[in-house]
Amino acid sequence: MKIPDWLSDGTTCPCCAVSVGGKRNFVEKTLVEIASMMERSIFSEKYSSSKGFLQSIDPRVKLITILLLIVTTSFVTKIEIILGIYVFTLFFAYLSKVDLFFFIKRVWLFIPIFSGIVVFPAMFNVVTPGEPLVTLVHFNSTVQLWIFQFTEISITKEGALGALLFISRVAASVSLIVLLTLTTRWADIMKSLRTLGVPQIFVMVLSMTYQYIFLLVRVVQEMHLAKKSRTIKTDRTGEGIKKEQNWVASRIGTVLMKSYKMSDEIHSAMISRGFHDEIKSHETFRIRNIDRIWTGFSLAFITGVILLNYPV
Amino acid sequence: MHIPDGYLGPITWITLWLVMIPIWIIAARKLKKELRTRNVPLLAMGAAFSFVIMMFNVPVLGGSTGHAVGGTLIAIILGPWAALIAVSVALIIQALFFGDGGITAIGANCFNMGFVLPFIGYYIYRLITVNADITSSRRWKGAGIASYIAINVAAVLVGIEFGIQTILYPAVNGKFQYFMYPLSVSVPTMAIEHLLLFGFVEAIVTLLVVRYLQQTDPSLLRLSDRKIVQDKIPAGLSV
Repeated sequence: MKIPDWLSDGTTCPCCAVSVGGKRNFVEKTLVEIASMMERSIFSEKYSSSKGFLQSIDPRVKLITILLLIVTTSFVTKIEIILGIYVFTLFFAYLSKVDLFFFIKRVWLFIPIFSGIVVFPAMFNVVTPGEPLVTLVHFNSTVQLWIFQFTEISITKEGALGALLFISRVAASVSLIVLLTLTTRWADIMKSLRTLGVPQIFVMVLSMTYQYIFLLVRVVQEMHLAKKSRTIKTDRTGEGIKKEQNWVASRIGTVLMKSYKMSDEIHSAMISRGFHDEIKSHETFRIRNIDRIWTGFSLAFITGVILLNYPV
Repeated sequence: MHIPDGYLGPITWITLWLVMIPIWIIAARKLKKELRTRNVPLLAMGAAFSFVIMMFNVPVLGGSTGHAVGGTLIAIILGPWAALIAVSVALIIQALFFGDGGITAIGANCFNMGFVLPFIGYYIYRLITVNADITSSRRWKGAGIASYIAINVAAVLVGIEFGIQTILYPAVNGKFQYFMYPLSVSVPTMAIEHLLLFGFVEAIVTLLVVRYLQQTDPSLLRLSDRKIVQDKIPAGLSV
């Protein structure tokens, strides 16, 4: 089902966006996070139902080939090749009618930016010694800091290249998995996991969890919204924090009680509908020529990548 | 604490997958025997709860917020084996659908947060609460201490997994292939971060929730004991 644009438009009217004190407190932070999570999954459904290239591939084939590509990326140690894999994902995102700007934003917004912070110090000679590219500070004597010794602070060639290698590997891997989940319905991914030999019970728990996550998230959202709409002044003194922590804990406790009770009810519902510890899923997938071509292509791509990286 | 793809080299992530597969199989067998048809909905709700717990921002000092992992809390309620599956399922969904944590690193993430964290948390909690009444203050104090220790052990493990990359994959032409900081940097960084901040968030959440449950629904705290009793009921009587 395609969500109409007016419905997925995230802008709220200014009347209900009043924030006290200017700074976002934990209630608002939580609400924003939940909203962005919901938005992400709504967008996912939007792309998986459009008619692009990857959407037409059998989900089982797609799952296996993309997982193989992710594993391959982990083995690649040359920057050029990893950048090549990244371009590969962009190309197939384009062929699959995924908005490239959205795709890039979706990939880079999460992990790679965080990884950038992690990798930043490694660009300097303090961590990665080598040929200096830019020297920022030069000291007259050797400086000893914790376990590091240095006489200058500069960005080294080795450090910069290492950082680029690291970031591009993270970005390529995230791009691959995002490409899979954007172009495949989650129910199809679940069914395909069975073909990988994942036991039935795991797949059943996985797919049931996915469904109930959205229900529980909605419950959490309503709790926070209820609190926000009843809050006039935020209290930031020590006692206030304690009170707020107690509030969060009591809500987590409530969600826990609710979900436990719900698991009982779901169980009764399943039993009364004849559940016998086993679920028969109807396999409707069929391998077509386009799947054979895609499999051949991606296996050739993987072999090429491995041969380029580890020449015989 | 979610390790993304690309941080760990193949030796580490393949090893941790190989460690986790038998553990998952044992857990699945154990739960199937204990819970019978109940296991699917119970584990699914446990996993959904484990996912949702990470969405609760907890205010800490100075206007900053953090969130808990909740591994110890789930282990206290459902027992460590059910917590293992619940947290693992939550982590797999995060990796697959939300890009949080890597695919190759699923083994590593489930080992740290799904296996080590709940098991250590659970057994420390049981040790502290031996013979403690269900409403005793030893329960929530124990829960706080256990979750604080458990998350720190898990964090140090992550630090070790990061740090050994420089040993397993030494620099080629001066540049490292995977995680680039040595053990002497990665372990203290992870440890200090969790000893000073995230450990307290986890402890505060766990102890306050246990205290809340003591006041409102103490029966939930008896679940992990009751399951053993349930197991003794003949198969025909319990569906």
